[in-house]
Amino acid sequence: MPGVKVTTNFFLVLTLVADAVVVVALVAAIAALVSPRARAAVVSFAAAVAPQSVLLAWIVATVATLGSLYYSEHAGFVPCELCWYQRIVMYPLVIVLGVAWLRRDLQVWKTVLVFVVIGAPLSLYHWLVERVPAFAESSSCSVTVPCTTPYFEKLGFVTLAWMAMSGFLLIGVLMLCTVVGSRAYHPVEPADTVAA
Amino acid sequence: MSTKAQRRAEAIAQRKRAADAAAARQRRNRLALWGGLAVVVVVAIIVAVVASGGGDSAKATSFETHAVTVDGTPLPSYDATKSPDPGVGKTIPTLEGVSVVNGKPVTVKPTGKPQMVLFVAHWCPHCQAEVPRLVDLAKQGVFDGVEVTAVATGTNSAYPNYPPSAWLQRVNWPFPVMADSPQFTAATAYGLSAYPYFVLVNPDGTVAARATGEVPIDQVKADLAALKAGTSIPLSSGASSSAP
Repeated sequence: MPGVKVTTNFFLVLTLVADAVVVVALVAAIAALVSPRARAAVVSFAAAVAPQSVLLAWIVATVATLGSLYYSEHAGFVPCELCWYQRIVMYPLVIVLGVAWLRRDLQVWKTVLVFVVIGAPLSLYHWLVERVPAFAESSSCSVTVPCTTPYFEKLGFVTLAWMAMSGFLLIGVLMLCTVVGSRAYHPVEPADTVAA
Repeated sequence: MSTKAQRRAEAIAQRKRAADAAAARQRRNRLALWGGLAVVVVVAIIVAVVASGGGDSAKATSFETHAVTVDGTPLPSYDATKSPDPGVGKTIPTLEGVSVVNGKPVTVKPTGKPQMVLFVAHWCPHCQAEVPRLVDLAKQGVFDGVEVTAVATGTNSAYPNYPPSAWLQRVNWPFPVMADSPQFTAATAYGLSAYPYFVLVNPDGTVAARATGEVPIDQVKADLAALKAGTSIPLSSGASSSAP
């Protein structure tokens, strides 16, 4: 089993890549709102990613889950209350996305985005609790497992809560690729055509 | 072959070419996607291994945690919501341990002088915020006439800002620091319920006041002045424990 330092640096790189993808996706989405050329490029990219997006999202959820289990079961980082809430949202995605991939179910985004909409803000809140004293409920540290204290902090901002948020957001971006991309491949047909 | 049949054959061939092109495009996309993912994983592994090889953080002493002997009745657990604090007026138990810095003996016991015993955890951000403020107060002479001992407790090498000895030396903590045991013997004996934890002790060895959390500087000054004067200490209300 690799050491905690090596593992953390490994997850740090993956997190930064996820963050980069999310930022690019956000910028592209904004550009697509104002420019038809950007919109075409976004749709084309989403269409290229869409066939693999459920599998990719499953990989992200699985890596996040295994990482979380590594830190708690191997490194001995006891999860705090907010960590547990994030786990409750992330862990089922492994099953949900795995089953959807096996069934080639591109409609799974409807379920997964609900998890993302819960998980990402939860992780952001935890990250703020760690960093902004005003978000912490008291001015003291709990004797048990305080949510205010990250087990590590890389580059001045990457903590486990940030990593979880990056994972949720990347899964969200991949699901949006599924929506946009599959519509590009299978545009919604008018009702009468479908009926015919 | 009729013209109609030719057109039909051509249409089928065209559809097949389009399907082949789409399949080829999908193959290319899939290849680029998985290739990109493989590159990311390989880069992550390389960076992880290379970045983990270099200089480590501060070196721990052999005394970051150490056995502590307790003599006397433990204080009741501190509850900031309980007023008056049932620990006030109880005699502090004697603690015998060693310094986190150099392993020399450190003792906390009734000495006939006012005392402050401060329990801190290296990973606690509120302790990290409070300790430098107390160091500034010490420079101003606010602690003159008060015996101050810190107890480094809650120590865990997996947590941030480890080891406590390096942290307290880095912030120029001027008073002795006792290492608590891995079972937090000293903290338990003094009824610690959260970090940082202040125990103000009268010259006769009885608890004058207790508080947890960041205590505002003016409050610390007022409390110490009251402790030295032997008058009622504002901290005993426990109100400061949840103040930002």
